[in-house]
Amino acid sequence: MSPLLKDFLNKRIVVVTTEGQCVCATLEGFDKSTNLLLSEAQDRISGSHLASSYMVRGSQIVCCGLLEDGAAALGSEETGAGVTALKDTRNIVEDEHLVWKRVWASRKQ
Amino acid sequence: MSFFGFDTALPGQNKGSGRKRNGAKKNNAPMDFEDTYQGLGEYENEEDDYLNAETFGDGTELGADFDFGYGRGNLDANTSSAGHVEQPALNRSYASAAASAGPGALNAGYSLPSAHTMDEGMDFTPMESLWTNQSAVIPQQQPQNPIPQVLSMGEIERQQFQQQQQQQQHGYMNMPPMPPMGYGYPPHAYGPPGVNNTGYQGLPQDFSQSVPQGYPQGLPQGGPMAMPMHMAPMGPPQHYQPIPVPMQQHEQQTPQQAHHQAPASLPQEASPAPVLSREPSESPSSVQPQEVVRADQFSSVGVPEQAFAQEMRPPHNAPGNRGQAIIPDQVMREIAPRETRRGSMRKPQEPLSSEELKKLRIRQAKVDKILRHSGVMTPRDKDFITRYQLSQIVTDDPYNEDFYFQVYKIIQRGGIVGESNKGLIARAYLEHSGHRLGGRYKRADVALQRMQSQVEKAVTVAKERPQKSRENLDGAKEGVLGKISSARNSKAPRRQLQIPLQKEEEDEVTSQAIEDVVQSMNGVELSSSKARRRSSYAFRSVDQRAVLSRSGGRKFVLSLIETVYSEVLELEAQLRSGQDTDSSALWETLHISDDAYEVSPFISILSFDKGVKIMPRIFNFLNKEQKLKLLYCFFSELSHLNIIVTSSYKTNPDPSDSQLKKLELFQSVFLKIIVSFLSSSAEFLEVLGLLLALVKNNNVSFISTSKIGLNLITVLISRAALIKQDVSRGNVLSSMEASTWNEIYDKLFTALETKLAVVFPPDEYSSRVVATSSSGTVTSATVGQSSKHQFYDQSYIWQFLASLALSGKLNHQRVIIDEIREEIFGTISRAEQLSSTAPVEEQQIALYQRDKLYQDLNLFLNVMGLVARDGEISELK
Amino acid sequence: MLFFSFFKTLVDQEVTVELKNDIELKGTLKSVDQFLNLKLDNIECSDASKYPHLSSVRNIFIRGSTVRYVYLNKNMVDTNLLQDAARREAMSSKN
Repeated sequence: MSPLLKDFLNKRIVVVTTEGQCVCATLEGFDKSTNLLLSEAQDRISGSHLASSYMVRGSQIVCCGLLEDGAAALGSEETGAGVTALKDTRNIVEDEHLVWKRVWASRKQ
Repeated sequence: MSFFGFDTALPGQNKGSGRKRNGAKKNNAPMDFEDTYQGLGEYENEEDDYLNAETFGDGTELGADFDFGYGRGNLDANTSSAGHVEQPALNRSYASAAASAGPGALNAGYSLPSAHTMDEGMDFTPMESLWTNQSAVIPQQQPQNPIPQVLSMGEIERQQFQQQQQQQQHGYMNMPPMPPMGYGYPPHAYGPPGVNNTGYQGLPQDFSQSVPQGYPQGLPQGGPMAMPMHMAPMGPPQHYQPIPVPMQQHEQQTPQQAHHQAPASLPQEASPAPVLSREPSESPSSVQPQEVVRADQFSSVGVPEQAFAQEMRPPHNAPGNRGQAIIPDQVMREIAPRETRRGSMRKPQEPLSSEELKKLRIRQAKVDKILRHSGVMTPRDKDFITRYQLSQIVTDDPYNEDFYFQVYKIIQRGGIVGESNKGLIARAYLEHSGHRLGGRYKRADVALQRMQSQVEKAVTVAKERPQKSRENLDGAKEGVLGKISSARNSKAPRRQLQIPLQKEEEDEVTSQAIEDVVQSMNGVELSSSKARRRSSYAFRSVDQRAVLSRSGGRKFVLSLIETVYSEVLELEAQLRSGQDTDSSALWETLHISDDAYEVSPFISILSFDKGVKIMPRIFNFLNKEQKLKLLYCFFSELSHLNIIVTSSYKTNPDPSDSQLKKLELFQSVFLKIIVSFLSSSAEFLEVLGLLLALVKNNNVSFISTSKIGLNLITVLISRAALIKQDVSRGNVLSSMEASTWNEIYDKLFTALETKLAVVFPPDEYSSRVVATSSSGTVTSATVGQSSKHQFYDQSYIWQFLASLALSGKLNHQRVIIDEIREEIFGTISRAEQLSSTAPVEEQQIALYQRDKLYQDLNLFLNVMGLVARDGEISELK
Repeated sequence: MLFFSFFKTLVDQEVTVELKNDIELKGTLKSVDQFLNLKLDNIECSDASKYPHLSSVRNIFIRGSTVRYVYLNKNMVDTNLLQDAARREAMSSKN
């Protein structure tokens, strides 16, 4: 199993997700699919508290960076304003159901 | 259908189950399973089940509280509840005696453990005895009993789960995971006494093992169940005895039980006993049979398993479970001994001391910890995963999996990476593939250097010869090169290049062999020339498609290359594993003697870089005859060779950087093969054969306009000259060899005559090559430190001319000099210009280049005993 | 396993990883696993002003699935060997 995240265990990390969310949390656990169990999660940008326990599915993880000691959350200083939002890399088709509707309709004919 | 054959008209069954849970929760020692299954066991949820009434009776209320939790409270509850529940169920349906114990008793028991135990009394005790061992017996017994009969689905599941766990843990590997079916068959389990029988066995076995208490109670009272129970007691005296004992203990202990779960853990010992005892009852012979039966049953029938699960069940939540889990092992190991023990032991046993209890508790805790996640996976799951993991790690060819990394590291570290197996294998790869030789770290012009050294060697040999022959030459050249200042005079005439005299006394055998060689070569040539249209003209297009289309098409050639690669990789793998290699398949894929195409596919293979790169590794596996055939094919169809076309200034006056790189690649890889093959293993006649193939089937003057082509010719004739020199020094050159050589040389010379000057590319071409290559990677075509001073390296041309002159007679040399006189003087003047025009700061470079020019030129002039220096040609001293 | 094997040879080399969310990280490759998850040390965000998200992060784990490109120095790759390795892999998967 991937031991790459082992060094991050029980440390504060920054997790970037495919939705573009940036979370600051303590890594409590992980598995080989990079599913992460986090605690004391807060938004990196706004600094708002998200959850005391937070589970992120591996497929949603982009990267996890080890937060250097003493690093403050971005939000505390910048309140998140002016920070470019990260790109959402999920492959989501807008109004996908409509697309399928059309597909089925065309198929019936 | 009644569950377990009971007429379950018991009141408050549902409630009972609910209660159990509650109790467990309260105790704060709930099992994981309980949490998991909460709610499932609620009969309330299933009251709409149309079989409920039939199974449990209408409005039945189970008074028993089943507590499957580990907590003490649970224990108490369990013990009490278990007893109650079972009793009621059993009683109502089967026994009258049990009836008294009814729900009320259960309830009471719940609140007052001690009371329960008391109530349960006789019936339970025997079972307990079975379960408990000497020491453990007391507390544990009760907790275990409670559940078995009235099981909610959730409970059953739990039991099965536990069972599985136990089985796994204890080596009941054979037993398949409990099939859900089991639930549907509960009746069987409850079935009659035929405990041992597969159909019914479930119950008896179960009872004996896990549920002993519960069942015993019910059984004695009456009903089918009773049978086994009775039987058991009936059996060996040993068993019988235990029963009573437990009873007593039970009563005594009950109070304690609550506090001592630890004892429950002991049940291991106790549990085995019960099993044994019971079985014996039916089949007194031995305990073991039972076990065996069980295993069979489990494996074969779902029902038995169920029963088993049920048995196990009661314990699972409560301490009993733990005990059971442990029990199996012990049972397995100690069955027989225990029986005996029990009989004797139980009575003597006293309630555990507090210390003992403490120990037991600790132990229990440990076991709990271990068992906490046990059973999550079946043995089969585990086995599967283990095997899968292993398959990830272990492969037939471990080196295959990590090939790139292993080899790369070795290359990086210079071939020393410790003596690991992989390292050795990787090194073997490097050796077999010649990777290091053809790799990117290799100097591209090694082959050229080698060729050059070959020529130089030949020239040196020529220089070393008695200088007598010079005079004639001087005279001959006098008019051509102008006045030659000669240190020698006509008194010491120089001999002509020596041509060995024909020896009359030829060795028969040798000549015969030569005959064969020539014959075979001619044969090859003939057959192929018939099949293919030999082109003595060059394709004037750099576009290789024309050629490719005549050898099967681009796609075909590319697939051919891949086939060749896989053959080579296969052969290399065989070599590594120490197997004998058979190159015939590889040979086939090369299509060298394939006449089906106008141009041999092999020639087209060489049109691609990867086709060229694989050549050294192909050569590792070919025998000499195959190599010869390959080269013969190569030289015969040289005009079709893409690289010749692209490297000829006539057909490709403006070579691109990539084309120049291709040229480099070809020189460094393929030319090297040829040079090493010729110098190591080719016989004189074979060299001649190759040269003949080249001369006869190609437009030699066109080929000589290509750097590659010229180099190839140089390689052949210089090699021939070297061999001949060797021969003239001692060995005998047969008359046939000599005459063949003369003949072939004449042909070659005739083909080149009057066109010798074309070997020098025009200045535009040279400067273009220089410009292109200086902007790209450095090639051997350029020499010099700054782009300004780079110039076209003509050394290969002088090498060719030197080789040509070396093997020629005087008149040949004269012709050569006559034809290239312009170039000779041109080179000299260029060298002189360099030193005079170069700026001071670049004088160094200019001097180097000047020396280089002279050096190249003198290689040729030396052959004729001349030397050029400082702007004039003088005689070699 | 070819790419895993390949990336292992890049350990301790400086690479630039471009993620699918357009962030580019330059750093020393410290380790890689069979999912091609990467771990970089001493990372440097190519556009730190635009993406301050990873400021004060030096050591980073990157999920392999989110990598768009890994930029390498040319001399980190032995193409001939890589070709051979690819052929071997193709052959072994065929069998």
